[in-house]
Amino acid sequence: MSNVSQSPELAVPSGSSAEAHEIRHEQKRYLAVYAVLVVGTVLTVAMYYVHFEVLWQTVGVALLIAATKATCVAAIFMHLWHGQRDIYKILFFTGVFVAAMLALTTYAHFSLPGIGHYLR
Amino acid sequence: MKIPYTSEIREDTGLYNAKIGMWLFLASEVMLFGGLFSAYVFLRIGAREGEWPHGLLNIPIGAFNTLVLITSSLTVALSWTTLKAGDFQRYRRLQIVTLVCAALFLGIKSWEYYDKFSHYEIWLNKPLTAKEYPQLAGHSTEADLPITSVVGHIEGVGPFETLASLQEAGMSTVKIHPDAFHYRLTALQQAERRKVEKATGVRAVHAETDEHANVSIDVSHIARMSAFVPKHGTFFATYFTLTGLHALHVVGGALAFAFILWPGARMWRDDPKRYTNSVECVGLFWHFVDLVWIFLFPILYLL
Repeated sequence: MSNVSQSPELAVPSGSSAEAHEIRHEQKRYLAVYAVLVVGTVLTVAMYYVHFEVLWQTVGVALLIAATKATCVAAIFMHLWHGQRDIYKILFFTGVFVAAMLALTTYAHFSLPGIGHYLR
Repeated sequence: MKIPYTSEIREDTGLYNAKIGMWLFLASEVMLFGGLFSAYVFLRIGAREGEWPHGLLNIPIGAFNTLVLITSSLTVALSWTTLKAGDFQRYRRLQIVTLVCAALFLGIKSWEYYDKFSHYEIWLNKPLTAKEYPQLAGHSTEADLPITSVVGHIEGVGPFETLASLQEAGMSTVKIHPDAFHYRLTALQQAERRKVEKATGVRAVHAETDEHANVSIDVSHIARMSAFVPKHGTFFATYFTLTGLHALHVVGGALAFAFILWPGARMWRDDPKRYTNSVECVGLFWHFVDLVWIFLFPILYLL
């Protein structure tokens, strides 16, 4: 193993207290997100044992919880919260294309005979 | 030649270059998984009532694996902040936890896969009824309806066997330990059956080792037999493609982390800012893999 850690004088920032404070703040945010993810997972599993009568209710609730968890991960863990314009642009176009792809496959059900009865 | 903008911020984008590169890569990954998710949606919506399996995957284990993966995401995020604070040792400890989580996730997934590979469905050419075989009560909604297929583990039969391989081995009967419920029963029907069982006490779920729970089936009465492998049907084809590709991503992310943690750690001495950035970039990939699982878990295990 290397001895890189033996050179603390090369440690990145100057260690100003404002920066240290900001880092502690960030770590607290991460722990909060983690709590949301754990609760979301527990809710998702609990939902299965509740047995909604209608399939689409189950799907709706499951996807709502998943979307909430995903938003937390993307916003905080992946630092999208910090608002970097070029990344938003990339993600905007990705979103458009994914939505188009999902819309096309869903649309296909209406033109195939005998299937897609959940949507009718 | 020096690579530009590895640690310093580029003015027009406000980012270092690797981050833009990683996000472009993640955009292509979204399209890759998006295509597979849309295939899943197509197949799931197209399945007729009773065709889509219910209760085949182990929910507590899937939920535990979800917790393992989100825990690893947390340690990745925290390790990056400790690097920013200049604490390499703490970063290394956190990343070792990440790697342990990755190994645990893959180990559990492999165990799940192995269980599926040695779990069989037998289609019969001579139907049985739950009246004659109370062990099969959970394989039909009514006791006197003919049961044309039975699912469960087969005594003394390991993974990947086929009807042909059983015949070749000269087996004349198979002893199957039927599942509590046939996957073709919907979640609601399974709940109904559980109530009936409780009321009548006819059949609680038998232990795996309970000899009386087994049903002997003549090999000549088997029309088709398949383990829960991709060719079993649409569900497992989708399941193995999606989770297999996801597991490969976990392997890739873990290898990248291990590389920068040990052989690549030299960069921490030469250019700590750039090193911290590389942890952030692999971290972005890791969180993306976590994000994919956040959707995979409910749609495969619960819907």
